[in-house]
Amino acid sequence: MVDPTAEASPQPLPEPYEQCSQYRHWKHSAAELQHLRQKVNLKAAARVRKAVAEQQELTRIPAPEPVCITWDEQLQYCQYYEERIRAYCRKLQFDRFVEATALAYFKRFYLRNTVMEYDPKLYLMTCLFIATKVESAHISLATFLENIHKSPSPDMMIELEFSLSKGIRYEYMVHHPFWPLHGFLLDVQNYISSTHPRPAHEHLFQKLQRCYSRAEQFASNATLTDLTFTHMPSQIGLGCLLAAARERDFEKELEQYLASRFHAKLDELVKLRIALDAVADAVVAQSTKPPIAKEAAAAVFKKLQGCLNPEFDPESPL
Amino acid sequence: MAGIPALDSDTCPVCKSDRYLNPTLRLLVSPCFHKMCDTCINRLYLQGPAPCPICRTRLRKQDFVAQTFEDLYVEKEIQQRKLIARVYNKRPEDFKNNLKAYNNYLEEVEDILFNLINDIDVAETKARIERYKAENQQLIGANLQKQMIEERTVQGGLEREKREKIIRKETYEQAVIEEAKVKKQAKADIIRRLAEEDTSASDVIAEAHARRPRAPDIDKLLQARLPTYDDSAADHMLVEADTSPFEPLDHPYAAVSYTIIKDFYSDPWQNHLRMDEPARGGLLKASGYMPKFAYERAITSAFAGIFAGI
Amino acid sequence: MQPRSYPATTAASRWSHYIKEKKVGEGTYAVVYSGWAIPTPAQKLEHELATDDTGERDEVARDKKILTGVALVCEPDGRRKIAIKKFKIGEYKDGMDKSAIREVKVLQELKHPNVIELIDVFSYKTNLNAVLEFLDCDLEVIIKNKNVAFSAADIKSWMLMTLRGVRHCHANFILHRDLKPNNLLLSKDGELKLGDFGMARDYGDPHRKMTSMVVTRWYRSPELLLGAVRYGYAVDMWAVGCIFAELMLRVPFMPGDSDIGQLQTIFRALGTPTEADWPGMKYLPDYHAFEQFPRNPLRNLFTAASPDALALMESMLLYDPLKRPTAHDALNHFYFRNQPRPTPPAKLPRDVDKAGSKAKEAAGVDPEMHARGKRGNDEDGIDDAHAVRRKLF
Repeated sequence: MVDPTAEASPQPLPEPYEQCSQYRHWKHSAAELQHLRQKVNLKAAARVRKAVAEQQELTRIPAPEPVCITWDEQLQYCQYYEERIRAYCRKLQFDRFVEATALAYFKRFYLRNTVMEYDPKLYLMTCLFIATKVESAHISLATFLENIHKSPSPDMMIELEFSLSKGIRYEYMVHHPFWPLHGFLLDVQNYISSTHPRPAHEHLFQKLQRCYSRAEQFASNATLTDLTFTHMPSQIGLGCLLAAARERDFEKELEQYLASRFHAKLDELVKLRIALDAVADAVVAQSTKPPIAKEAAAAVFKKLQGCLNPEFDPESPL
Repeated sequence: MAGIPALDSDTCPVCKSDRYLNPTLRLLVSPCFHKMCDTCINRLYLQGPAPCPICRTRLRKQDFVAQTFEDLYVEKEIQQRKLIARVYNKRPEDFKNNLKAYNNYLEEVEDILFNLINDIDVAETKARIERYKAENQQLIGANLQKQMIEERTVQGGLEREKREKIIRKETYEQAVIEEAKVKKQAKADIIRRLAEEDTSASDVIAEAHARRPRAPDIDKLLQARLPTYDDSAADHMLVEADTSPFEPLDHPYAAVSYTIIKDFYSDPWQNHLRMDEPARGGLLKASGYMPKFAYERAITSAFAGIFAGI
Repeated sequence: MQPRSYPATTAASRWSHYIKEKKVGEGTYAVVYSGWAIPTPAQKLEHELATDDTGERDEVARDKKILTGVALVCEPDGRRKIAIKKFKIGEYKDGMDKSAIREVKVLQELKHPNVIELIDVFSYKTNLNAVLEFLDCDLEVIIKNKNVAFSAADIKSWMLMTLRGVRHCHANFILHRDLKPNNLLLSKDGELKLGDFGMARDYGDPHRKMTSMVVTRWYRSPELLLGAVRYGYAVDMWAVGCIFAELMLRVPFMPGDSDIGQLQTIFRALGTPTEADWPGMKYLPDYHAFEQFPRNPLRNLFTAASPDALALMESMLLYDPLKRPTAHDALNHFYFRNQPRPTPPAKLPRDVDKAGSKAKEAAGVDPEMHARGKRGNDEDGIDDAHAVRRKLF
């Protein structure tokens, strides 16, 4: 009779990455992303209209029918603020991990929430502040608020922290492409040493290093895009390296490397190449994309004033 | 010997009734070693806890138990010995087989017991015990463990005997039933033959005798059913000998099967550490830092889920 | 205290709400309550379909445990006993408490049978609450309960589960940094789980320095005591070694009474290290010339230990951090493959004295107090500690 308390022979647990919250809850295809944003936007618009109507009844102040923000307007508006996050990180000298985490929080939050109810200016600060805590780069709230333009009060910050945390499902750990990219740097180095004769090493290592520097820039750009949702960090890192390799005349060596490492998985490798191309195209596009113009953001801001949800306004009777 | 009645009087000290007048008198004893008949106990403790009429220790009805020994003095001694044995549990081997030292130790224990049982210098003796306990803590603990394991072994042996007894009994009963069945069948056969066949009665019986199967060999049956035990190593006895393969590693964590992780790379992230300088490198190694941690982290994440979702 | 009800947030697909019943413990930065998780109707239906009176539930639960690595422990009606850890607001007016965020961040990612399970997180009136599995006992309580005897197989079983949990953390490049018997929690099925991740953080990053004021003093490794700021897995392994020793001795092995005193205590027990024992130790920030104590063979103190147990323990308590085994190496040590087999968790000794059992899910201690190593109201432990010292010296 089998003793139910005896050690069962160990079954393989899921792969480590399958257990991380990023993979379980924050991975979406491009199509899913669009669908989600549209859905969230439509629902929000309905809520706003209803709330405005209710407010109108209560206060007897006539207000025009709100013209709501569309989902792509929100997307653009958020991108403007994401660039602001970057600027603050430079000013406050936060490293790229803090920046990338703050950006991830911001994107995740606005994937499921609307700017008509949550003010991006406030939330970008909150994303930054929590990111400093999570990435072990903590600064005091006082110091932080000194450096922020039009900062909220400390009490408000705490409430914002809770609101943001809830919006990101309290899943604070975010994985970025930087570690994987670095891992490929090391592993390609290893590959070169073991497959090329000694005299060639010096030259190839230098090419690799130049390639890597460029790839690091691409990786930072990647954190501004939707790649954080659509692809695994390892794929993004490798895709950045590929994009850089194309620019820095290292593509051939990289292809050889891939073929060697994944020789046992040729079918998957084909699919991987497609994914890497998608990543490479995205990061290159991002690097050549002009920043969102302040005027465009201002226009959305103006439109926004007409469609803010009064339920979220502390001064409204609702 | 203050406070303990040396003789078993058949009188309840509280109500003074005795066996002569009350043949069903039942005397129970309290934790403070005072006796009382059950009538008095019921009367005094019906409402709840109350002080002992003799020494005023707070008691409840359920604290009264039947005596194990005629002599309450013995009862108390047994109790004290048990308590002391949990502290003074040294074995001859702890004295490296120096019998004289062991005997001195035993005498000291008897001394202490004498004091406690007879309420002599109780406070000082108790302090003595505490001191001993503090000084010999680890040995006490170790010996306690040994003792518990031995008890379990003895228990295991007893249980094994019990099981064997049951098996023997069953086997025997089985054999008896079998034999009865066979006999009955044989008898029926004889009767049938006598009725149906022509052979003479004495011949039938003679044949039946010859054909009768031998009685079941009980010993052989027992041998087949009784398991044999290997007595070596007490711990083996406690857990059914489990020789199935045992794997302490519960999960392979096969994170990186595509490549190996070397001990050294030219790593721009670690240049600032200047590990080749003796002071810096020495400090980092002494702290328990290895550049390899970063290599492992980097390369593991490089290949983590590389084929996921595509 | 009236039971309160809180709606589920991130786990709303499985649980409808949580009921907080009574307080079971308090630390410097959190209060712990026991309570119940009430399933959603869909979840309840699934649970009913999966269980019936023939005990099939155990099979299903066991299979699920194997597949997901997380046990399902529910009442027949689908409710689950939980602990709610309410984090107090940080006093320094820096918003959400950093330890709270750290603990939630790490527990969200670590799912393993030997790591405490985080079921959900919710906030109520600017208090962060973590819903954790309910574990009513910890290893410290069992070690201290003199009515409970351990066999070598029991110790091996606890060490096995501890090391598996630690290995899982290290494989994810996370250091626990507060391992001690009090933080090794035990379920009613005897499973051991690492708890209290308030000090946990990632390691292996060459750009980051860490604080050396971590781990409760008695379990703090020598490199931390000497001020190391870039360290690794070895700090957790030292703590595990101390716990191993404590399981055998039934008292803390090296209980120092101050941070300075802790190093002395270690040196007395294990001998003062030489440069050969620990290359580079002179470069550590807080290094100075130490009083020399001779090395005592541990065999003399751990008389009941088998040679393989002693070998493993000694390796975890080596001065040179890089010579200590990783959790993976420790699990591969022949100690775990030798007889006796580790006791199956369900048969491990339990704390029989319910009145004495302590706070359930260990509430954390403020990091500053951590470093000073306050063990809370621990009269018994301190007396025993003095006794050990006397015995050693």
